[in-house]
Amino acid sequence: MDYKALQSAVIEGDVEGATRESQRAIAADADPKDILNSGLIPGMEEVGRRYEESSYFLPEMLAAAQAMKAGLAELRPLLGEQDVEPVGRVALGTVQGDIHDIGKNLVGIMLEGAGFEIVDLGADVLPEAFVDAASDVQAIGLSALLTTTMPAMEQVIEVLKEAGVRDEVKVVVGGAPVTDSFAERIGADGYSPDASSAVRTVKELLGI
Amino acid sequence: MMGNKTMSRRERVLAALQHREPDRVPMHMTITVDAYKNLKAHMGIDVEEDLKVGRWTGVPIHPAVADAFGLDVIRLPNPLDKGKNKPALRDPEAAFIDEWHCQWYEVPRPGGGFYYEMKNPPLANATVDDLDDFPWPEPEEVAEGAEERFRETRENTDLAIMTKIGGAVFELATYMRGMQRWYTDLALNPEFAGALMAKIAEIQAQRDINALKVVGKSIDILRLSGEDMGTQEKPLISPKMFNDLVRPHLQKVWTTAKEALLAENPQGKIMLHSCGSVRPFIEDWIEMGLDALDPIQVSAKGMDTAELKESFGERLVFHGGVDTQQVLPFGTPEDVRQEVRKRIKDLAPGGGYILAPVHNVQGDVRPENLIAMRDAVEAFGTYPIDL
Repeated sequence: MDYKALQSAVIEGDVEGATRESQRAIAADADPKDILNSGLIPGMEEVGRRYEESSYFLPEMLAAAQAMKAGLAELRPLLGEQDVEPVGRVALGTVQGDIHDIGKNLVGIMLEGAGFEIVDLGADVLPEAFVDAASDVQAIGLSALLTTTMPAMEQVIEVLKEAGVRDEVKVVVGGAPVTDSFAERIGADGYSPDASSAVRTVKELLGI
Repeated sequence: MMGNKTMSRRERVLAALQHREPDRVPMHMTITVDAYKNLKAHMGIDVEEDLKVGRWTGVPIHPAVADAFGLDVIRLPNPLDKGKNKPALRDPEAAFIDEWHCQWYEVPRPGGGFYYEMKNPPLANATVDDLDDFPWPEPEEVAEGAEERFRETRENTDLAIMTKIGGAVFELATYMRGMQRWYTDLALNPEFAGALMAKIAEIQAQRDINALKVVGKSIDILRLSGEDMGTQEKPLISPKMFNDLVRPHLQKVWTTAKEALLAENPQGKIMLHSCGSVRPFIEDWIEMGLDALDPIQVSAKGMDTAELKESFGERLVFHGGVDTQQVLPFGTPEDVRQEVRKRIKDLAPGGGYILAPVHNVQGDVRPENLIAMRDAVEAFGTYPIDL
């Protein structure tokens, strides 16, 4: 089956089109896993590519995310029926003291668009909440915008160690003032400068 | 103070604004409450003042502190600001609510202190039709005492005066709608986005007109914003979207503000604040009549100070440039000294540069680093620049 129209609807941020094309594929008895893997995911990959090469910016990416979510909403019940597992589970949160969550949300969108399931812990998240989430996920993503909340990232890693679960999850950090060397210094497993490359980082760390 | 100074602080700033070389690179700074208290304690300054912590946890710097530290510019509070809360729509948990019905909350930081942030945007679920019914602020008159404060600062100090009056359009829409919703609107609901910006621009322009009539003669730099348009890596919106959708609304406010300012003070300049990687917009902004740009976020992609000076230095004044994401909070005093040296070397030749930290100085910046910044301006900033 050809999923070009579905891919285009995602890429163009055409919410109605993504719903319509997903419904059409389902009605034609396409495998929902195939609709996801050959329609929605390649669409979001193209969105990520366009964002990285700067032909897309935040509004186009958010519009595409809405289209992707509209398509996914059609597929979800069927994927559930077939027990289709996500490629991985990632918990995301903005660290304690920091409520700036757009970067974290973008990372969530791009991971979801790559077939991951997201456990969104929200903004201003206590370290303990990351520990609680650790048993259900393979990776944890920490975000901070303020220099004054960066130390809270290190604290999350400490608390994960104290709880004895640090080795069970990969920890990836990001946010405006965060750098590769900061990530290394606090003992994170990975760092990404933007949402699109965060998908690559998480996949590499999880061997996907 | 050291150095061979021949100009008053204001003369120094005016020369820089007019693209002439002053005696020394002028310096400015905005600061949050904890960093301000730490700096005052470090310098042993004991001025009695009622610290009114405002948006983003910033505080106005007392003229005596500005003078002792060596600032050349003082930012006075918005002359329209009456500090009043409008309880009608207010969540009791909010610390305060502004005139646009944006609610500000105290968000505690681990390790002490807090930061004022916005939550629960007032137009999160609004439609175009709802915009007519929203309790918009009246384009009000200046607050009591504002005229005196501006006049007295002009008469009793030799500091150049900066203030904001009407302020942002694009970024205010972000606050009122909520960030994710607003940026989705720009792509999927441009009709709403345009209607909201038109409404805000109309009010902001009228506020500028009203207040500039009263205090305009005392204002050297009118801050138009913040209109943050960059991320760490790239602009938030495409230059095409800026020109097609956003520019007409900003143009209305900028043109109105500049005309109203020049009518009162022919030497006055307008300055845009826009964080992040904004290099692709600068040519458009100059075309729109902008005189000065803040904060030159040097840690963002494409904000190379040598290249910016080369490309725009004859037409645009740069304000800012001292890194606040790495150097000021995490660097040593020597790192700060080298940072200041580089920015002066890149941006100061020929005038057109007012040195300042890129962002409101946060509580994690040691006073020693601010003193190092000030001392480096003294050490490297004397004209002619020879670095």
